Amino acid sequence: MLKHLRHIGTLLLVSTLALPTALSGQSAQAVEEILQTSVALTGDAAVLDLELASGRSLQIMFNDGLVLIDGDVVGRYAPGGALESAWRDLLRGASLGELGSGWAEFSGAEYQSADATAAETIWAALAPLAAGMSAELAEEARVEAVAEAAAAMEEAAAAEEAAAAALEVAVRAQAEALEGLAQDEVIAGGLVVELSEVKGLARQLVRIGLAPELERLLNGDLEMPVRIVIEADEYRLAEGAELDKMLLLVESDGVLAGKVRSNVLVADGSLIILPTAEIEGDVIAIDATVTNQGGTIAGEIRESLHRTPVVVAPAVPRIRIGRHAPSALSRVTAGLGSLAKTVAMYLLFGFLGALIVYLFRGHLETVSDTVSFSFGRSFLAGLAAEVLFLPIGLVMTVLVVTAIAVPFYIIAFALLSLLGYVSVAHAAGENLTRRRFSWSDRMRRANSYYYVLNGLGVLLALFVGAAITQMAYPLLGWAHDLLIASAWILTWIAATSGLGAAVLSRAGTRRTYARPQELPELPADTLAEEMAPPAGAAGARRRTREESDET
Amino acid sequence: MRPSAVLALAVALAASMAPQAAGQTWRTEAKARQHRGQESLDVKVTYAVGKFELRKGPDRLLYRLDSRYDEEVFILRSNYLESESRGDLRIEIDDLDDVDLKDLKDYDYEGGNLTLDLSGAIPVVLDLEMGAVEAELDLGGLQLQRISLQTGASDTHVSFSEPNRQAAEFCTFKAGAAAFRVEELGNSGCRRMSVSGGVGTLTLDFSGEWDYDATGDINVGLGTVEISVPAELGVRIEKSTFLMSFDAPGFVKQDGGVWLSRNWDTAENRLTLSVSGVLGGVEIDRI
Repeated sequence: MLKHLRHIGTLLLVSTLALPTALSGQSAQAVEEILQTSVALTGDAAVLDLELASGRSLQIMFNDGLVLIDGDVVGRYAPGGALESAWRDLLRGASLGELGSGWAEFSGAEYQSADATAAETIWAALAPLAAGMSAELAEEARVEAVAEAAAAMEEAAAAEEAAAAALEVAVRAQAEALEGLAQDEVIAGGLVVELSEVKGLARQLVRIGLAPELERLLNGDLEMPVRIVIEADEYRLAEGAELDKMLLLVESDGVLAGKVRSNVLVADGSLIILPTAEIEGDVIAIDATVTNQGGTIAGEIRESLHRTPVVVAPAVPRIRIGRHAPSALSRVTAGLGSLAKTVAMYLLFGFLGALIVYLFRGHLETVSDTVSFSFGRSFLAGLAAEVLFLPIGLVMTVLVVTAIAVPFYIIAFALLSLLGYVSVAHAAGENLTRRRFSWSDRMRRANSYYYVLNGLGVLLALFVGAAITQMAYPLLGWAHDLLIASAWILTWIAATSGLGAAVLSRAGTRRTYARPQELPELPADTLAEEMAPPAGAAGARRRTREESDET
Repeated sequence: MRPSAVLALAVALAASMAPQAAGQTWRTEAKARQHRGQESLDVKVTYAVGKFELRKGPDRLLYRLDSRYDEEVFILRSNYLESESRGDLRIEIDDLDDVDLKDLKDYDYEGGNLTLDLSGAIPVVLDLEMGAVEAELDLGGLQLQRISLQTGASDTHVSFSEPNRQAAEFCTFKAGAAAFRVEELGNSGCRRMSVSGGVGTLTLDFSGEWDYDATGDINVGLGTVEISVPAELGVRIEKSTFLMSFDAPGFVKQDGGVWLSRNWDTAENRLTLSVSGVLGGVEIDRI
């Protein structure tokens, strides 16, 4: 019976299944009889499955020392021997869809004694088939083949039924699993990505310069696993469910009723925290809406609306973009640009200062004297004015009656600030003149235009220094940074004290905190003339102004 | 030493130390089916972990697959059905139910692979779902009617080395936390395409043979999009981004976040792209 089976197997193999080109004289049609060739190789087994055009399938297996055809043992082989090696070579060709390519070599090889029986059985079974089987044997084989095919089909049908049943069980199990998942989490649409560590995300963001931003948002905690939900219509964590990782919702709307054992970060989306929800970390919202309806948040809700400029990290060269370190030429150009801006500022404030001197000289001098004589008081007053500016504005806006005055309030504040800054420049210029020049030179230079322009030069000198050092940034970068910081601090101090002096002097109309009017240091004869009783219109004007100052 | 080599060394070291890793049993399976009058083929591949290659095979074969996997962890399911000359091939290499994927790091997952050759003689509808897979897909020379590719945490390289032998209705590429690169998209013949990325870098090269107009939606969650378009192609970019840098030298800005290539009015073929994203950057180069 066994031998018979071998004959059947080999007959089927040769006559119907396909050994394409190896068996000379076989027609191309025989090759076409094989529909599908399947090969499976493991450490112990080497299996060939053939699916035939007739609907039948055939399996030849080398497994653990036994040769089987359709599950029946037809011979033995020595594991690791020549027969197994040749069989595996044949299957390698079969795996490429070219079963016949290795057939001649397989059938023509000589095998050692351990494999001889199996090899001879296979070869002997195939040889007469190849030469042409007698009609009787062919008919017998055909009948048996049909019977076997029927049996195989029955087996296949049974196997198919079993597979269908198994599939049904698997589908049911999967459905149950999905149902279980659905009870915990619902994610409608979108894409879900899980990373074992936030570091993985940070590594991606390094390339686009956002890693520090992420690290800052998470307070440096990058070790935790993270679930990222992107563009989901809805993400819902059910009541009683627990998520033991960080949750990152990107362009998604989320509803939390369960417990999250880490931070929750929402970017460009919304999040509703229900009363049953519990979050053990922070809730971070980046341009997102977070509504806490009574859930427990161990950390805090942090909102970030700041749109961070994206900087491409220099580690990734962008050839076409050319974002390299600035060249020496670009540094010089930038420095000259800063210098030009400073000169422009000087000219602008110089013009405004000259205008103020021309129109409101007395007021300017009073404010200037106030800041010189009561600098500390002026600075504190200016600081208070700066602090109170916004609240007062808000109160005025809220109170309907005063709301109409808000624009005037803002304009008045701006004009006072300008007057104050120019007055500080005036005071600085005046003090510098006093210290640098003799009395005769002072007389020549003793006019407010000169003071203002000179003082502005003093105030803006640090900006000039910063612009110059910017041109040599690699060498003098520290000096540039120092100068620019000092320049802005000085400007703020000047503006604050100037504003304070303007406030204290009521825009230069009161000399309460100004130094007493000083007489210029003139030669004795000139001084005597000055001390003489005023006469004429000029004296009258001066007296009137002094009286006015005292009020 | 390259990061992948370090990773492989670490995995190998972990495998040598972890007792459960010693039980890996590799199984090689191959299938080849003759092309016998089928007029079209639907292909769906689901692959969890490993290396995946797809390319055009000989026309006499409908398909050929070659796989290697650890049979103690994974299982290969391969089914082919045919109805009215339309073939339906489903290939799935998935983890066994009783295996905890958390232990996956102890396995030499890089040793697993799946290679699929498809006939270029008939139209193919391609549906690929990749998990943690390193994928290399050369879709050149195939007759692609539709493409749907979804990847998880993977490194995916798709190329169209030869023009698609027919017009593709729709192409969808969806990448999770991944490096995703598509080259010579002009050869794809995709009239409409959608490319989205979760976290990572999308590199889209639209070079190739353009004899048609196309539209595309490109969306990235967190990451960068690098787009290269041929100089002779008229390109229109409709930008809708949030916290993203945008760099498109040679393009002229219009109203409403629209950027046009200078040859938009005169170009023989045109490509319209809608680019959206949350965090990252978009770079567009003319080549």
